[in-house]
Amino acid sequence: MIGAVFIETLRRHWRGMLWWGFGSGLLGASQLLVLQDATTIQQMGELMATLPPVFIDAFGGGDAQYMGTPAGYLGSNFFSLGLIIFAFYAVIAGLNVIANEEDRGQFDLLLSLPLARTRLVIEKSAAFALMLIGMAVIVFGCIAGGLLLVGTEIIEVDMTRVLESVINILPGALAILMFTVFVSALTGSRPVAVGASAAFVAIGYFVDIIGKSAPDSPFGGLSVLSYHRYYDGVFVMRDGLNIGNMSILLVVAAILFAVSIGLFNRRDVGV
Amino acid sequence: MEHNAIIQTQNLSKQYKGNVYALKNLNLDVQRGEIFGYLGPNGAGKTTTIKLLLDMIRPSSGQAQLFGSDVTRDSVAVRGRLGFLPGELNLWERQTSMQIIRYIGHVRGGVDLRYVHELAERLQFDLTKKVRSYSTGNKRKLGLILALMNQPELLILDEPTSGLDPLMQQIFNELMREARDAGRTVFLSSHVLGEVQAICDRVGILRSGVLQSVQRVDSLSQADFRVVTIRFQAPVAAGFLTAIPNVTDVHVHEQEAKFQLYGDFDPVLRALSGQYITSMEVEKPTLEDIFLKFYNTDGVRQTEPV
Repeated sequence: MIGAVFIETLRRHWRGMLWWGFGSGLLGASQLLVLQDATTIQQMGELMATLPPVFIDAFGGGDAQYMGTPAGYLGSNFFSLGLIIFAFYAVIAGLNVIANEEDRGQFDLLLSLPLARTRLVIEKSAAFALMLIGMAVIVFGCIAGGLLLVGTEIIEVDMTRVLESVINILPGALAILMFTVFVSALTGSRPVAVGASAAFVAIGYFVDIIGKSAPDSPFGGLSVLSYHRYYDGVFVMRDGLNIGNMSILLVVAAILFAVSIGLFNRRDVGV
Repeated sequence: MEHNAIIQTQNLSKQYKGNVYALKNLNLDVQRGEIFGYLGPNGAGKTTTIKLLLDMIRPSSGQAQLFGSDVTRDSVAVRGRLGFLPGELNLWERQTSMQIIRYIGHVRGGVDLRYVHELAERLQFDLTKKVRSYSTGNKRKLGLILALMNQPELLILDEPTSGLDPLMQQIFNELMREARDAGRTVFLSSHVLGEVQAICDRVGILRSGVLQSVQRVDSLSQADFRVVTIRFQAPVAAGFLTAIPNVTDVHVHEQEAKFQLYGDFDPVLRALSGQYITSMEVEKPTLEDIFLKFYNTDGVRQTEPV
């Protein structure tokens, strides 16, 4: 039956998604405690202005004056790391598409059923992509709920920009999810998929940060290859969504997904 | 179109890196309504064959068909008509049996829960528990329920009775006979000779990836040698027994000698004429004796296939 794997994947993993969503959302909402104190924000802005660019870049880069505003503070202290927070969940989710079940020998039974490998990967990936969206909804709910609780007249943050910042995390998270699926489809090895995906996330992040700080170094050139370069964690709160960058990440995710299906269809499973 | 050959392979081979053949030039036909035993020691290539039939691994050369359809090209369609029990059944430990049965049932497009309960009752199996709480035998029972619950046309069972107690093995044998009587086909791999002898119609013997022989089980039991055990009054040397024509596998322990005899008794009786014999037993070979004719301890085939 079409959708059986999708529904089963949701049934088994929705609780985990809730935990991750509320954990990340409460982390975001906790920033509101600081945002209530205008003096602290002002002092943070003044501090930022004194920092060398490399430190500013570590917080997402750029404009120290903007970072001294509530929106800038939320952008640099939560959304700049938003993708890394989501990346943990995306890697775990990606492992659950192929590598975990193949590693445990559970595909022996599953692939003896009238279930095409393509359908298996599509349904499981779709379920985890949906749960990434669910996690984003919870994170937005936590931050928006916190803002409403405190009052938007006290913390001057545009709710639409908060929503956009949360949406902005999704293409990058999807690309990381698909990278994990890709390594799993290629190798069928859980340890390799864990290691490669963790390296992908960490190296991509640091190459981008170092590349921004030292654009003339080799990292400056390499940073175009980093997924993190196309994630505007800080400035969506000020400028809105960057559709171009989001599209690049979505295209990368789509390519990785298509290649994963091709690879998984071609190789031996469970050997 | 209805095919009488449910499983067919032509020169099916699987080769891994380093020129290692897990399966070499397998030519096999399994007919509708038979129970076919696929016999061989561990590592002989039984599971490789099954994985090839289920399209989990792809052949290096040759091809295979189930129900007349290519197992790779039409894999989804053919898998819709079979039930499979893996040799090592790894299930989702945190799920209950019923949750797994429903999941597998949904993927298959539906399941008759009344039949599931009937199977569970016959196998004395509790469907409400989580998989992690089951013993090896109970996991095996769940695997059998999953394989049988859709009453598929073909059952592919890899070492199906490992971990089952003797009572459950009897119930398993009944279930297999019922499946055959209903016109279904069973392909079971095993290294348990008694299991094969009890229920199989034909048996294929596999060694080191090569199919040695396919025989009817009843013809195997009528093999043209007998197992002879002679007890002498005094200890004897093995030498004079091995010199007798058509005598093989001579084992002598003090006054007792055991050997296999092909053909007539006359040369043996003549050779023994000077000895004082206290007793002599002649037995038909068990399937195990026949099996050992194919695989002696150093893995060298000793005789021509029976």
